[in-house]
Parts: sequence; C-alpha cells; structure tokens
Amino acid sequence: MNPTPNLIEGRAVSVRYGRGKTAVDAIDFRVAPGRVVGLLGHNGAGKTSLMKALVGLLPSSGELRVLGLDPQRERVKLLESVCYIPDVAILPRWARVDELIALMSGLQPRFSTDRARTLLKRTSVGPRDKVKALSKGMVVQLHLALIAAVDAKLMILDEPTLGLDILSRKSFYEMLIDEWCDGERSVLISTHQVEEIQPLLSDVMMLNEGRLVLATSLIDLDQRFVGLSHDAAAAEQIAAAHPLLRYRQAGQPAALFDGAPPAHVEALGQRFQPSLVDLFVALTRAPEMNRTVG
Amino acid sequence: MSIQHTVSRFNTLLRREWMQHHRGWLAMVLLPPLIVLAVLPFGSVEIGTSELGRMPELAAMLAAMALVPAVVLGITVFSLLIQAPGLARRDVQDRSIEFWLSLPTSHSSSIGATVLMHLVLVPLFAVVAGAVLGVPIGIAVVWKGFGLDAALALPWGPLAATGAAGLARAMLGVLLACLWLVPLVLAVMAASAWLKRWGLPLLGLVLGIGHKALLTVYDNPVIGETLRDLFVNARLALVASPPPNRGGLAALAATLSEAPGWLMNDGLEALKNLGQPLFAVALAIGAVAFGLLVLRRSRSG
Repeated sequence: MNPTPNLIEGRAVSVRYGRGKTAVDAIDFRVAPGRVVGLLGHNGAGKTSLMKALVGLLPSSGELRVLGLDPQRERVKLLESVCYIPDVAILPRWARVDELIALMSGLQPRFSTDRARTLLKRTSVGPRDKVKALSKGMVVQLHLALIAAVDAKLMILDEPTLGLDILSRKSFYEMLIDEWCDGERSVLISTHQVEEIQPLLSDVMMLNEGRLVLATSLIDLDQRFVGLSHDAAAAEQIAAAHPLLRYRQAGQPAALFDGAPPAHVEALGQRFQPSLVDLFVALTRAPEMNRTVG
Repeated sequence: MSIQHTVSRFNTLLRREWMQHHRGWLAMVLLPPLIVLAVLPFGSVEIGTSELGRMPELAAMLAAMALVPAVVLGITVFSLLIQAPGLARRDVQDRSIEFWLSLPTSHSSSIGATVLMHLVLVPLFAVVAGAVLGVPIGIAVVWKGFGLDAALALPWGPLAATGAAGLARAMLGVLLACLWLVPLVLAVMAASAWLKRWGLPLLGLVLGIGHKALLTVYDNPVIGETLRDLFVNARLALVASPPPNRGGLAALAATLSEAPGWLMNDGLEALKNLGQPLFAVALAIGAVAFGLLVLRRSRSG
C-alpha cells in the first residue's frame, strides 16, 4: 500500500521579495495529513512569506507542491481545497454578513452556507450586520467562521486570532480541533501566542531569519530536548556543558539541552520538560543552532 | 474546472460589484429622471410649437424618448470615467485585497468582472433605464403642454417600434463606444494601479510630451490623431450618420415610420466602422492595459 502523500512538500524552497531580499532561504519541509503544525518565528522571520508562497501569492524557487499542485501555476485550483487567512485579514467593509456568505458560496465551491450560519450563531455577529459596524474582534470571528465553513483539506492561518479576546481564541481553537480537524485535514498555523496553541499542536516548525531551525513532531521534541533546573552554585559547571539556553525558570536557574546532558551534569539539577516557548527562544536566539532540523 | 463553474464564479464576481456599488448606480441612473417626473406635475411646460413642426405633440414625445436616456447615459458615463482610476486600486485601498486573493478566483476574471460591470453593463443599464423612464416623462410633457387627449392620441404603435429600435441602437452604440474607448480607460486604470495617484497625470504627461515630441521632431501627429480618432469613432458608434431627412425632430416626427429602418441602417454603419486598423490597435492597447492590471493584482498579495 502506498503511504499517504504529504499535503505540503517543499524542497530547497526560497522566497525572495523586493530587490534581492530573501524571506525564506532554501528550506526543506513537509506536512502530512491529519497534523496541526505550528509555524513559529520572530517578526520578519519569513512566516508570512512562506504562507503566501504556499497559496501562490508569492513566487518561490525550489520545489514546492501543495496538495500535489504548483501553488503559483495552479493557484485557483489549489485555493478550492485550501483555506487561507492572511495576517492582515480585512473583510470588505462595505459588505453585510449575509452578502459575504452569498459571495463565499458563489466563489468557493466547498463552502457550506449552513455551516457558516451555524458557526456564526455561536458569535455575536448577526447576518444583517455590516462589516464596518463590527469591532475588530467580531470581524476576526466572522472571518474565521467563513473559513471554517469550507470543506478544505488544508487550512493555512497566519496569526488568525489577532485581536480576539482569550475566550474567543479558546472557542476558535476548540472548534478547529474538535470539529474541523478530522484526522485527514491539516492545519498550518502561525502565531506569537505559542503557549496558548502548544496543547493543540502535533508538529512545530521554527523559522529564524528565513531558515528553518526546527521541524519536528512534539513527541520527538519531548524526547529530544531536556531542561535542567539547578542551583546557582552549579551554574559554571552547567555552562561548561554548552546548553542551548540558560535562563530562569520559576525563579531558579535553568538550562536547556539538545539531547540528554552528560550524567555528571544531570546530577547537578532536576530534569524537566522544557516548554515550546523556551525552545523557541533557545533556537531563534542562538546563531550556532541555525541548522538543527530534526 | 468546468465552464459552468467558471461562469458561475464570474457571475458571483459581477454580483459582488452590484452589492458594493448598486446604491450609487441606482441614485445616478434613476434619481435625475425620477426628479423630473416628480417635479413635472407642479411646474409648467413651455414648448415652442413652431420648432416642433406640424406634429408638436409627437415631436415632444420623441424628444423626451431620446433626451432622457441620452442625459442619463451622459451623467453615468461621466461619473464612471471619474471613478475609473480609483477602481484599479479599490481593493488595495480598503485593504480587502488579501481577502479576495484568498479565494479561488483568477486575477483576470476578478478584473474582467469589474471592467465589464463598470464600463459596459452599467452604461447599458443607464440607457435602458433612461429609455423606460423617458416614456412617462414624454407622456407627462405632452399631457402638460397639450392636454391628456393629445397624449392619448399619440401614434403609440409607430412610437413603440421607434422606441424599441432606438433602444436597440443605443445599446449597440454604447457597446461599440465602450470598445473604442477601452484602451484609454484601461490605460488610465493600469497607470493608476501601478503609479497610484501619479498614474493619471503621468499618463497625460507622457501622451502630451510624446505627441509634441513626435510632431516637432518627425512631423508625425500619430498620438494626437489616434486619441482624436478614438473619440470620433466612439461618437460615431452612437450615431454613425445623421437622419436622411434633415430637419430635426419635426422631420423625424413627420416620417416616424421610417425611423426604425434608419436606426437599423445606422447600427450597421457603426458595425462596419469597426473594420479599420485603428480598432485592432485599440483592442491591442486595451489587452496590454488589461494585462498590466492583472499583473499588478497578482502582485498585491
């Protein structure tokens, strides 16, 4: 039996813009079906450029296939099966909610009007409301409801919950995982709210200055990276073992290692599972770690 | 993707234009004739009957049927031409471009729908609405100037035939005039899309300086003559040859039964007028400008 093909497959993908500026620099990555992938990176790391390249809005070099299609050449066909929320998602201000539903229904063949109405009933957005009369958070809720009503194979979300309060964010993520994801569909999501989405993710990709510094599953991540909290007195011996990052955790000095630390070092402290935020800081701050793709 | 899907999506894009702009269009097209209709019962109509010949009622009716759609079309075209440069950057300026680009529609169909709706369908709608509203306005004018009996005694059969032929001719004329002016309007839109607010002045400057330079250095007036010929042909698309019986509305009223035939022949003349190299040049320039608009949109993400 053939293995299930990846939804996204990229080899040596580079995205350039302006006069020779490189946003994404020769990265290799793939997204399999049924995964929720967090795309993390500082501002300007290349997340948005990569996502735009994935939906054919920016040209890329290298080999990039999304759902088996070339995003640039087959953009229209691709977008029939991919939902995309850009980071500066602004719905047309002149439109009413029911007009947007009618337009989506006519333009997006996999859009379900009933599903959109059901999702909108959970929000405070009414069908006759004009977009220009909605608050920023309500516009985001509306956009998310419209996008989640598309029976797509892949969802690409660039900072989707920007402007939403914590309850709305939680409710969106719950809907996304419990209702939209079905084991076959995948989500690629970029956000700065790393701690909030960590429990949802199955995989993580970290970009730093256009380079992929980490691409792995969270299970592998838990096995690979080790945190060690220790007394201040042991700081020098810990530093000598070259941890990825030294920082403070719950008021105590801590160190983060790629792989298990040497036994004599481990004996100096207490092992713990580092958070994604700690890893993110470690991997995007240390230049020598720019090539640790898992 | 099937043709049915493509057509359905294009219709939705046209519907989007209607959703976004219909209030302005309806006000622009319907308000002036409706105001005239509303004001007529309270005003007085003074008609110089000597100017209208032996059948002044009929001539007044014909005048209303011709003038109302002409005025409505004039107002509409004027407003649309003013709006055309802004159309090219509309979605970028209201920041909804990212939303539209996230939907499975091609750049060419998105721009095509905008161009078709604003530059062809709305002027056609203006002509039809003007023609329809010209009838009650004409009746009101005749009623007011000559009495209800005169209005009821008008030759409605020939008038209906002339009105229908006139409407068909006007619609053909609008369509052909659009084709003649398409390179200019699309060039203005493309210049605005690429160069923002500098687009229109720079295009004007380039054409002006280009014309002057070619004329001075090579004694070649090609730019100026081409521009003039485009406008002349757009005017000829609307009225290709004057009525055979010169003498204005009075003469037309006297030979009403001949009017549909003349209108049909005039339409054929306008169609024949397309058979000249300038028309091919106009379409080619229009295609290049359209391509520039598509390219600009594809880089808006």
